[in-house]
Amino acid sequence: MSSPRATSPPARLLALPLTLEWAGSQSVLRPESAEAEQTAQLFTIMVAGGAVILLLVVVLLTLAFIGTPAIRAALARERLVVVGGIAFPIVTLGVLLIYGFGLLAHSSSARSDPDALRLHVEGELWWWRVTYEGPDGEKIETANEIRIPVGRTVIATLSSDNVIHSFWVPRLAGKVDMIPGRTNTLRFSAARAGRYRGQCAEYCGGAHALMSFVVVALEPAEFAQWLEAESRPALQTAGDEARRGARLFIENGCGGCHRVRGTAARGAIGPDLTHVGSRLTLAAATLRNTPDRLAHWVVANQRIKPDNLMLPYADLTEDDAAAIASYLSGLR
Amino acid sequence: MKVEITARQVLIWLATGAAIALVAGVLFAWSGLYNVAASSGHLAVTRAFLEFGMSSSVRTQSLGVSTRPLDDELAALGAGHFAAGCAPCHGSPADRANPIVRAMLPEPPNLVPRVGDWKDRELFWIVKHGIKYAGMPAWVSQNRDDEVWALVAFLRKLPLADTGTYERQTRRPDTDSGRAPEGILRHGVGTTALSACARCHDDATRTPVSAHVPHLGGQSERYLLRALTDYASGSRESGIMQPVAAELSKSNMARLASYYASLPPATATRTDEDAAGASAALERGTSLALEGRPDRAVPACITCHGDSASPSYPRLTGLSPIYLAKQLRLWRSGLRSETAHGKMMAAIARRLDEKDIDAVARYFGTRSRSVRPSAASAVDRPRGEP
Repeated sequence: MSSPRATSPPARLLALPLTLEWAGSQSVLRPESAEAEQTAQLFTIMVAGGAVILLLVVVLLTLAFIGTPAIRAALARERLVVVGGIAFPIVTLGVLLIYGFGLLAHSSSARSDPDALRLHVEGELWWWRVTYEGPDGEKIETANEIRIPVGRTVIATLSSDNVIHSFWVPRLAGKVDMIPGRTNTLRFSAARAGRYRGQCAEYCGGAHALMSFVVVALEPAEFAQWLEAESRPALQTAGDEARRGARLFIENGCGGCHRVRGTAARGAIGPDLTHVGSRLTLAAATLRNTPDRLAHWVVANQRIKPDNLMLPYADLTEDDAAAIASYLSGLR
Repeated sequence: MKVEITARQVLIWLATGAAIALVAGVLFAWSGLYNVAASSGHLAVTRAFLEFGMSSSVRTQSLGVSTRPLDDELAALGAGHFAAGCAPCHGSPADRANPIVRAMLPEPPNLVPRVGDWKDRELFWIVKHGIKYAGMPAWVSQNRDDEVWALVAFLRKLPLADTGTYERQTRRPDTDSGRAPEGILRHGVGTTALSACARCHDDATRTPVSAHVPHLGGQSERYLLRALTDYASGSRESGIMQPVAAELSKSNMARLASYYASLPPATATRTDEDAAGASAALERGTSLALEGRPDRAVPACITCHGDSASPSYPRLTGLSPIYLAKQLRLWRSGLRSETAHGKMMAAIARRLDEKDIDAVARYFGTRSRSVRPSAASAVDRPRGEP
């Protein structure tokens, strides 16, 4: 299995920071919001400050072993312990703590902001239920994909009714825990249009690693257009295969768990599929959204994401699964 | 002279004796002098010893069996299986076993006078595990104690049953009259075919013989055929239905499925509406059936079991609550999760609790389905849906 370019484990470990850097869509080192910028800054300051302090300690330690008697006598004075060992850490850690509280207070502030985009994210097993509020206060539900306008403050309320999850979009915001019985708030905004990957950051069960999502930052006009489309009921289904899929979708009971607004499918257990065709990914950013993968997910979901709450439709014929996928992919 | 016997010498003598006995035993078996003929019977002393050993074994082995109350509904289920599964060897109040069977050694006993000798737990143990060297088979599914108890419930009634009662209880086909000599000489007059569905289930004029037996009329052909196929392959376990399905050819299964699909669906079971908690249970069942329990990821039952659902799924309206609750419990215990459809229902059944199961079974059991699906839409669709 080893290729000529295979690297030894230590070499791979050294390359890890680089790998993270390459996995750009999910890197804290490439912040794209004021909030993530501050977190990154804090990280840089801490790493740099920590490095300087470590260097200083190493130098002093070396001198204590090999220095001249005068230097060693100076190092042995009690004042050095009081200043360097007690006062300095108290001041440094105190400043960091206060600075950290400040960051936290800003990002979790619930203060109202008339211009802010409000949305609600609920941690499910194992996916994200995302709810926007329409202009008339109506709920617009989607899943595993959060679209936001560039430059505008987003106030996300975070909750869970099952286990603890944690909302984290490394390049934009977080991480903030979603705790049953509590609603946390997270403010952030994206400085530039683009796609940012998010990931549940608190172990929440078997498929925790497959609980990701995508934040898509759009230009404001584009966002308004998207939200308007999202608020509408499902598109009329066109084409014979898709129409057959729509019928199979209802007959096979999919509507017991999924909602497709404007149809008989009114379930509230699984993701709202009204506009599933327009999403980038499936199954909480586990699969790219293509009709083939969608059909595969329907019959093999328990293999792809073991123990997820969806029923295993393993007995559905390939044709029927393809028809259902064709119907759903058309719901844009 | 003083003889000293050491422990070592005793051991050597014993070992030598055992070796000689072993060789002698093997030689005796090899010689073929022992007569295994059933025709020769046992010596009276051998027979007494074997029966003593057997009854002692049953007594001791059945100590761990915990009994349960046995009622008429259970006995009615047991009756149908007895007629086809047991009577051919043991005989029944209506007729003695065939002479071929009675030439077995030991001869399968006529149970009418014998069944009183055993306790419930002993009968259960015998029916479930069978008896070695006696030709008594074990229950086909070792996981369906509920079925074994049904048979025990019937066995308890056996000593009291006269011919007429027995024939009624087992819906014995009338083979003495009405069949032309031509028919008899070609097909015989067997009364013990396992695959006589209507012995327990419904037919064009009768309802099922027990609340433990599902009404089959009005189910889809596809669903019925799948049920028979699953029983035949053993992926759906039942000591009662597996032998039945094994007897049917593919084409027979298809014809039966098609026939039952054309029969009228079940109608509501009458229940004790005045019983304490009945209305609360019905309310809980109604809400589960029509709306599900989203907080526990339970979808509304009727999305898959309503009249507009796929013919892959069974229709539940009108089925016996006892049967429905039993099946849900089988799913919850993992017994029906071998097949693709079984896995789907198992996932949901595990999200239900005991109260949910009884409530939802009561909901479906106390409702009737109209014959034509189109006319049923008003009753069986979720509220507020067109």
